[in-house]
Amino acid sequence: MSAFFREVARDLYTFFTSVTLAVVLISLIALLALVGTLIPQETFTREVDYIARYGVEGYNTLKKLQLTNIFGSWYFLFVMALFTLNLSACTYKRLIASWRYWKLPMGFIPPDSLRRFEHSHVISGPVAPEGGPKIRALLQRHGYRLREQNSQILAEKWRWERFGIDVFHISLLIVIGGGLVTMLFGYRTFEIAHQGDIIRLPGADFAVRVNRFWSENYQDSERVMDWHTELTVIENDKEILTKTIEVNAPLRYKGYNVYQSAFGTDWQGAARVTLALVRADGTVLGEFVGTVTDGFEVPSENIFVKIGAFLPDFALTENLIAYSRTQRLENPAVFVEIYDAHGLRIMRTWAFSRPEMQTVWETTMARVGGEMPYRVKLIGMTAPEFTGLQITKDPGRPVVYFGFLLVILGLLVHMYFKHRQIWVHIAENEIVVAGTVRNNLKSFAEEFRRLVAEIERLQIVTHPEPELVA
Amino acid sequence: MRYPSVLLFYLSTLSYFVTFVLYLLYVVKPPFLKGRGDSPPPLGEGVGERSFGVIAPSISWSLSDMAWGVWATRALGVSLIIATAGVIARAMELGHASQWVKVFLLPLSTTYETLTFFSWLIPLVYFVLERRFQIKQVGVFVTGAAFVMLSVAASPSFAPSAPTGVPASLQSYWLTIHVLFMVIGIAFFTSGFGATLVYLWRRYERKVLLLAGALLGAVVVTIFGVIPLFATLQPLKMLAAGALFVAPCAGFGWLLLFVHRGSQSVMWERLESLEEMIYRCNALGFPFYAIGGLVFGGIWAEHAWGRYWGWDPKETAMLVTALVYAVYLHARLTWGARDPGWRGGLVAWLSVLGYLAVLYAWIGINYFVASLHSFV
Ligand code: HEM
Repeated sequence: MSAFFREVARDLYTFFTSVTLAVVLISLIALLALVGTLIPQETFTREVDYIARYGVEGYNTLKKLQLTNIFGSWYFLFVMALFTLNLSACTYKRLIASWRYWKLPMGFIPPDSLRRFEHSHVISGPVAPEGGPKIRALLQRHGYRLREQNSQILAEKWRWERFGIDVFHISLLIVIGGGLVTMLFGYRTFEIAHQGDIIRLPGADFAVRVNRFWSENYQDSERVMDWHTELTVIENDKEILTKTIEVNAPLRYKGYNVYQSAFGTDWQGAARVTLALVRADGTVLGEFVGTVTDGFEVPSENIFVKIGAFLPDFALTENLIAYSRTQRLENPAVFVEIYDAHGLRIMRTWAFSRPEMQTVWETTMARVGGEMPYRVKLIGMTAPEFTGLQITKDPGRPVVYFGFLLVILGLLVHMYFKHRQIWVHIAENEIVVAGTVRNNLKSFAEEFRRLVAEIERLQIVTHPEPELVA
Repeated sequence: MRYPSVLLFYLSTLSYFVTFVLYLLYVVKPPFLKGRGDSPPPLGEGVGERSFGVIAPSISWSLSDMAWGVWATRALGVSLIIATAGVIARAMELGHASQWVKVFLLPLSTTYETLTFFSWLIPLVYFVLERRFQIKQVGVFVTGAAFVMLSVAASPSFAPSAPTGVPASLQSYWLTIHVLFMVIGIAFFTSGFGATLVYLWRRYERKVLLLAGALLGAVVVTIFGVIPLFATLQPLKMLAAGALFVAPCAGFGWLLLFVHRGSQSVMWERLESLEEMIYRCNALGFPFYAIGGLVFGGIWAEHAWGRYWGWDPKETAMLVTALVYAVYLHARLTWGARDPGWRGGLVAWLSVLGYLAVLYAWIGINYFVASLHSFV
């Protein structure tokens, strides 16, 4: 039984250390991510935008296939889990190989074998006695570490670079781990704040007050240079610190971060609208002002007009859900409900400021036959400015940053350092030089040739007859 | 003219065009130009000698052909000087227009600026690589690309003249670090792609047209067949889209196998240094691209938006690109680029795929989805 398990374990190990599996898994991840760029993901797409784009049925299909949240779908996470296993197994296996390599010393190689190296050169002629020390000094000047064995100089540099790619693969695991920590224990929210608001953060023993916010233009220009919000941290009813944040310069306090992330007019949250009311028989009742989610009374009629919602850019989805296409004041519309003295709703309608929209709407309503005792027109609107704050707490950040550091280190070491080894065999009548480099790059030939030329220039061989062994 | 940079970029457009023509002449070697051009370089300075052991084929080319290459490289040097002046001028103008709000600002805040910047840096990196690898055919592609980028930048839709203030979201020195690294990465990839084209031509000769045609067919089928079919969002048709996607991929694989079965052995000595150039370009570009995108992009996104990774379409597309190149590097490592069979061929085609991904992440994505990165 245990033999069986050992065999299964060995098979699994072989399977998960295969680079072909890595190629397949990385390709799969790339393919799924590609699909994720073509279909907007729900983290930054509103439901109504999906419906506007794909229709109700399409949206439901997408949702069922988890394509609107592909990076959280079971199949993506499954592939990622396999990949993490694969990467761990590979890293482990290669780390052992690197360690063995690290421990494996350079050894004496008979000159006949050296001649057969891809990068190899023979200088023949009687060798002067000071030849050895001169060559060694030269190699040391080039940064090589030397040993000697049976009158052969063994020179090498950058052996440690072998670990570079291991560090890199480990760093990927660390970044994935840090991301996991953020996902599990992190916290992020978006707050729309007005002047004087106090924001409480869940789990924090302090609050943040929005003192004021403003934008700044470039000189003689309409272009915004930056947005600023002045924040004060309040802890135990004491003001701890005040900082002005701007885009690209957040407030960081006790592991929480507050970012300047949006700025604008709070149409949907706090618009103040002016409505003109007309009775169905044509009697003008006047103009009234009210705020979203609140309303106003019309004493002469004994009714209450409730303002349900304000959309700065009204549009309808295919299943007739109203939504705001953008946050700009393109096609403003307000949803109005009118209640009688007993609190019964008499009518509800949309009111528009664009006359053609108003006409379309009213004719439609007339055809449907809805009860319309009053006509409502939207004639004015204002809204307070707001500052949009992104608030996060991210315990995974140090882990990810540590991973980033190792990514840089590992990659740079792997790509820009290559372990080189040079053998110089000094006999009575010839010097044999041979070299290798990791990955056996052809371009090493140039460097090798320069090195050989330098050795020749030392003039330790009386009658040098250069001869190249291909 | 109020903005010297614009004038300089017009000049460098012209200069790149001339360079492009010279490289083209060098590669095509039209018979009516035989024996003309500059005098050959002095002995010991020629392509073959200088890069001893790096490339063999040059020895068989006639000297006057080589002269065209020498002239092309010189012209490239001149173009680069003009482009450098242009980028410096633009940086000054932009700094002035932005009232020097942040010190380390490269001219990268509009499409015009990024295009002109790219057309400076990509040929610059190629210039260095050409000196190292002595493979000049790649210059046709690189200078051609620079010319096209500059022409696009000069088109009225990108309003080349006036620099405007840098938007708040871009006022960070991370912009400079992030984009600079990515552009250097792309520059290496571009040279690598140019080398891949030369390599594929040498490896397959006329058959490459068949393979490239098949690849193009696969891409076209995907864009015009698979994606619309998938977008119907009816489960059955989505399934069919999946099948339709597999079909051209399998077809391409089969064609690759077929081509390799029918051909004689590859003349490896003609390809070796080219293949190494592809590998070195991609392997050197990878750290820049991955570090610039994943690490510096992540750090900047954390500074600006409060998360280092958010699966935003542009950053996801960047990840896809890095992954394709990772696949290339691993495939080359395990299957061996020197494999004369279809696997060695596939490795080269993966390099093509990688560059298609670069183009998608860099330009294509802007036409598919709105994202936070709404500038190039
Ligand atoms: C997205 C994930 C990965 C990335 C970005 C990545 C990146 C790299 C890079 C850049 C290299 C250097 C290649 C070269 O020098 O040509 C490399 C080498 C290597 N990778 Fe990965 N890798 C990833 C995942 C994996 C996985 C899952 C495995 C396990 C099968 C793996 C196994 C190896 C091995 C064995 C090497 C060889 C290093 C050598 O001997 O030079 N990698 N990887």
